[in-house]
Amino acid sequence: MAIDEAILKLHDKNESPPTLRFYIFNPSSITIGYFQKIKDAVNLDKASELSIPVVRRISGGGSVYHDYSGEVTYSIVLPCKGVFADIEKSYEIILRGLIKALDLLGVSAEYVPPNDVIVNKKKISGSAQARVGGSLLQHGTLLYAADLSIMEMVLKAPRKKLLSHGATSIRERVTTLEIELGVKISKKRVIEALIQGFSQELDLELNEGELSNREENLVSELEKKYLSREWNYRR
Amino acid sequence: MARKSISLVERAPRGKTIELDLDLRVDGKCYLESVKISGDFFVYPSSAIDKLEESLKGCDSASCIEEAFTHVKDSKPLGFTWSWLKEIIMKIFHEHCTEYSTRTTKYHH
Repeated sequence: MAIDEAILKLHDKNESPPTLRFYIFNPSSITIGYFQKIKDAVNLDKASELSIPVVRRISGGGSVYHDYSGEVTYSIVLPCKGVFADIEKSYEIILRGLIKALDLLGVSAEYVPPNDVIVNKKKISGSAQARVGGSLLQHGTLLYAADLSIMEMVLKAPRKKLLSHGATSIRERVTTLEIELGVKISKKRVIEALIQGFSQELDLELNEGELSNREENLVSELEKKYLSREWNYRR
Repeated sequence: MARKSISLVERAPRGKTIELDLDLRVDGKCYLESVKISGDFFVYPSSAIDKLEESLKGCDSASCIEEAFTHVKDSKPLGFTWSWLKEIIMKIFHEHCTEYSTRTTKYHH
């Protein structure tokens, strides 16, 4: 989370380039949306029992279980200009990259505004966007083999929310690539498809890189916030 | 002097889930002592929610609630609309504060 925020803030100061990043939470973790009440979004007792850390994002949206062995997180930082100036449109355009990746992996997916991607009426990816000045950060999940039983144990979803999606449990509402394809799929293959999907759909020319010293320094500062109770329990 | 705490979860039409926690205080007048808005929605900039919560604090009339929402009119919610949220808060305020004002009117007469 600290790396995403650092790149966003430094991009806004013209000190970081537009960036596409993929990462895996190690250990498996839970992130919650900026506006969520932690106690309503997460089963904190269960998360603690399973040693799953919980962290609040700077972006809105719902709680996410990031399974080390079954989920890839993407994040993209871009200037909020041109087609990305409009918030709703920018979600849709960026998610075309993820939908293309799923297509490359053999799954037909569709965008459900404002921030979901579904396969066979079930959610396979959720995204959230934060904006600082003239820059946007969109980050989101792709579930390829996530353990849905753990997800169901640690996340809480209001009944009204599930029912609005025609589901009575998180498990009924969510799917993974492995469930849809019926075969195992490697993390490496998922990431390769994501790189291809995003670069094709967003017309990106990608150069692999490392975090700059400036980014690393800001990450170190921001980590303190993300580790603080004040931040994570602010609602 | 009395306090009523109201919590409710609402799902915006084709949108996101909003949880409202309101404390109403009856202290000579009936007013919103505190308002907390949480959920899985988006607002750009995110500071608009803190601003709205602060503006609603102390509101003892529909016009005050109306005014509070004008402070966030330039921000963009995603997953709900300001008018939908305002309607819910207005409804709670009227339901609970009208009840009090009817009782006190009877008492005074």
